[in-house]
Amino acid sequence: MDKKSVYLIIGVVIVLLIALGVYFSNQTKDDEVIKIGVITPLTGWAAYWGEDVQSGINLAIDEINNAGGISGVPIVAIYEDLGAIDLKAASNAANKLVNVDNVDFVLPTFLEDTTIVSPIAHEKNKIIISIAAGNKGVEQRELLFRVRPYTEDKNAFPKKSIEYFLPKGNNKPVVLYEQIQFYENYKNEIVSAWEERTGEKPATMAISGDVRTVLNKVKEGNYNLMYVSATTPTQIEVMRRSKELGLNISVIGAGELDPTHISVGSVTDGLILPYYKPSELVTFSQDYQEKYSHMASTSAEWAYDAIYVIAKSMKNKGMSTQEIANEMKKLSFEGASGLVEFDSDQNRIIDYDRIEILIKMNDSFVPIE
Amino acid sequence: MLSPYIIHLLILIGIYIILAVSLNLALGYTGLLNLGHIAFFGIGAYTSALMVKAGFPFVVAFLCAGLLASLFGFVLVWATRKLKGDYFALVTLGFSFVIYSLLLNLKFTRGSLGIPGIPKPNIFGYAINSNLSFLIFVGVLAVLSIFIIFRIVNSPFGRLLKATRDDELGLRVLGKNTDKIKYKSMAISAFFAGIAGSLFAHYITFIDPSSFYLNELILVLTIVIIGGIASISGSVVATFIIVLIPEFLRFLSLPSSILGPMRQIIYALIFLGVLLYKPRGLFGKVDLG
Repeated sequence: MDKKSVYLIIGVVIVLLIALGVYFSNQTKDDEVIKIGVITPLTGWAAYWGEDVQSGINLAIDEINNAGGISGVPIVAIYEDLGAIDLKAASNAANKLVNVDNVDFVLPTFLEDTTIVSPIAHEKNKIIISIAAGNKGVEQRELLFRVRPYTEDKNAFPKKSIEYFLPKGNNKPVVLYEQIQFYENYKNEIVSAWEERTGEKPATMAISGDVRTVLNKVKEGNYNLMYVSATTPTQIEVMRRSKELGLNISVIGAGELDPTHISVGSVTDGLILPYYKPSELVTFSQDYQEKYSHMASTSAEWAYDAIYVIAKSMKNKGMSTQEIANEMKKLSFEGASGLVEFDSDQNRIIDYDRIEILIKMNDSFVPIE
Repeated sequence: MLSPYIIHLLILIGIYIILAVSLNLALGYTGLLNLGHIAFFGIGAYTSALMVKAGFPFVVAFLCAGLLASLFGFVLVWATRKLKGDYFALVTLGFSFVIYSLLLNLKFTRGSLGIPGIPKPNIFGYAINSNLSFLIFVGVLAVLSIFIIFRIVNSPFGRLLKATRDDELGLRVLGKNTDKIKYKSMAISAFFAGIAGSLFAHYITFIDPSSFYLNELILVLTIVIIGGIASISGSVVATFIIVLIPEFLRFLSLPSSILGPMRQIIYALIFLGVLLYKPRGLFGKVDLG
């Protein structure tokens, strides 16, 4: 490459950097709208989550804006791609949302990105509402709220399943888990709950590569209950392969209801899910079905509720961050994903009695008998 | 006054410059088709994070990160000294998978739970807490790394590296021990990858194995290939371009439903265009392999 081209490339890069720097440093807060920065996977293996999150958020924003916004000020969402739960992408997105877009709230999706985003947003005094970080792994901060029911609260979800299955003689469980932060934590919750109740730790097996390898081990081990702490596609794969291998065992998923569970047909028949029962007072399910022509996933419910947490605690645009956070701490409302209340650490409180055990039968999930 | 967003991007650019320039030393100047570079980055990040969390001073952890990565680099080339070309590339890629798997399964690395709360560097009592001071720190190290690698490749030893790449047999005929040359090159290259890993861990403050897997390897290889094989200035310029382009694309106004995929398509098309126009990369002097 000749010298002229070299100087041209370097010059272009420097000019772009300076232009961006000047542009960003002159950015001022836009008083016309309430900006919500959403960091969620729009590409990669987890994009199905991101789609649901976007759908839930867009539905809530449309409803709120059609009703006049927050004291006349409309809400807008700015989406940033998390990719395949890429920590660097999370950091870049958070820096852009907080420093350039000057958003009022930041909504990360998972445990991993919440861990990265939380200190960046906190430093700029922004409220963080994590959509799906439902168990430990994130340092608690004053401005961090979580709308996913906090599964670790007394190991509520596994406890409910033990309560149901143990009296029926299902006393030899095995836990299959994916090596993703949330699912590994959830696996630990299942182990703790069983140990606490029976004094014995259940067997655990990591899922990597072909699931048939672990399923054959499960078959040899004569287990009578199998937890699958994994993403929806992996849960479906486990169900499919279990049936192929003639594995006659009750399978419990990881507590997220997803339209994909239904769309794959009879493959997932028999899959059991501990589920946080939504309120019948809220018309979210019908509205969602009407708008998107498919059922809402649990993550869409959480995302929808996250927007309502903002709308219900922010009386007007002039409120300070601390005032809004104080209002959030006092909130109690029936959301799409059930009663929304936060404990003193801003974790979503679980009403144990609202957890029900569902089973997939004939294209829908119904409460188990 | 630089925007905090630009400062953040410049810090990442500094870290990736160290990573890319060090990969170019092994891949471009020595002809070692090393696909294990990201593993050295991970080894450095975990070593530094775990040591600092165990109470070691940052400076000690930082140096150990480089030295341990360097040791792994040396062992990797020693163990694969009989292999060449594609076979060497495959084994080094396998090494990346092994390290990833170890990070995912060893108890002390906490598997997929990762290591949260990694403190910012503290050098002899001076805490680098603000991003601006971190940028200065990274900037100094990046310049130092470029300077050292530049001196290496332009020294008599650098000429041996290039000769090993271009005509290993010829060099052996002249009585040179090319294995030793490769060990040294890889050890130096891995050292810089290790310190880049340490900087990454202490900047991002949370690491998990997914940060040291194929996606990152492809990113660093792309920087080296777009910049040009055996070109330090190419790697530096390409780092700016490759880190900044996706950030510029964030400002495209696109509907949220197609936002992610469209950005990736545009990103890929830009690189395809560059490589069609300049098959050896922007500043490349030699062909890959």
